[in-house]
Amino acid sequence: MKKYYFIAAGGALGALLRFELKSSPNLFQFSDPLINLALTILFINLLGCLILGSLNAIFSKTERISTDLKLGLTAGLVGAFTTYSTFCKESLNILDAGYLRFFCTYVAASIILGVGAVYLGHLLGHHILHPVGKNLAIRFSLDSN
Amino acid sequence: METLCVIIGGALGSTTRFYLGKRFATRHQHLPIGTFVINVSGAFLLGVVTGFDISTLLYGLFAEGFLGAYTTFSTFMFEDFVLLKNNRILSAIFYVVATLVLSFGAFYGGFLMANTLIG
Repeated sequence: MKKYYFIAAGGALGALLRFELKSSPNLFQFSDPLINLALTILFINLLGCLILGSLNAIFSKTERISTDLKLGLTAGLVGAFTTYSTFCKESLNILDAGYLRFFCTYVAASIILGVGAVYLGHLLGHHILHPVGKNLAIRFSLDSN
Repeated sequence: METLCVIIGGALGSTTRFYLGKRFATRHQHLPIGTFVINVSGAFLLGVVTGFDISTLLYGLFAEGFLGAYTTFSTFMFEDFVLLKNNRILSAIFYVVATLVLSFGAFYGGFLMANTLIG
């Protein structure tokens, strides 16, 4: 039951961050607001993919973080930060506005870059973030002795 | 006030996704059925919500908050990455194509349905 509180808290924060980013008008500045919104969603989703890839790689190697906290960060925070329903809606809005080529590019790029961002995060987590974190932890425990 | 609606919706949406995701998870699966069902149903519901022209606050609660957090792009991509990593190339392609086609259809279907209902 406790894990649901962690997921709810992470989810609330993730949705809030997404909403704030989505509402900020200055992220992309193309002439068509539809395109700006679609690119903002893409940016949010790719950032989430990168973070989820890293977190899952780090979490798979450590026992020091509780399962509740792990779930709060992955299923809660990142899961709610990224969104599939809005991606669908904005893709179809683009199609409806007559941008057929942009629609195809947008959907294909979201998937290819999405998997790529997870892979990049996976490499980052396994080879850089986890070893660095481990070294810091060792140094920290030596210092405190 | 709208921000508060998004926060409440986000907390409910993410816990609903986790609960349903666990219920759908079967032992010998080749495809991540949970996320698939969640994303397609979430797209359908967002279509319905978009079709009914609701107030900003309700849209913040249901669409930006609940459905935004209920559906997820990162887990979808992570699961596809795992399929690719385990050399299930066909499953990975099928998972993406099935999700895209069915969710776009579901969104449009939900939108038309709500539009017809409000006349």
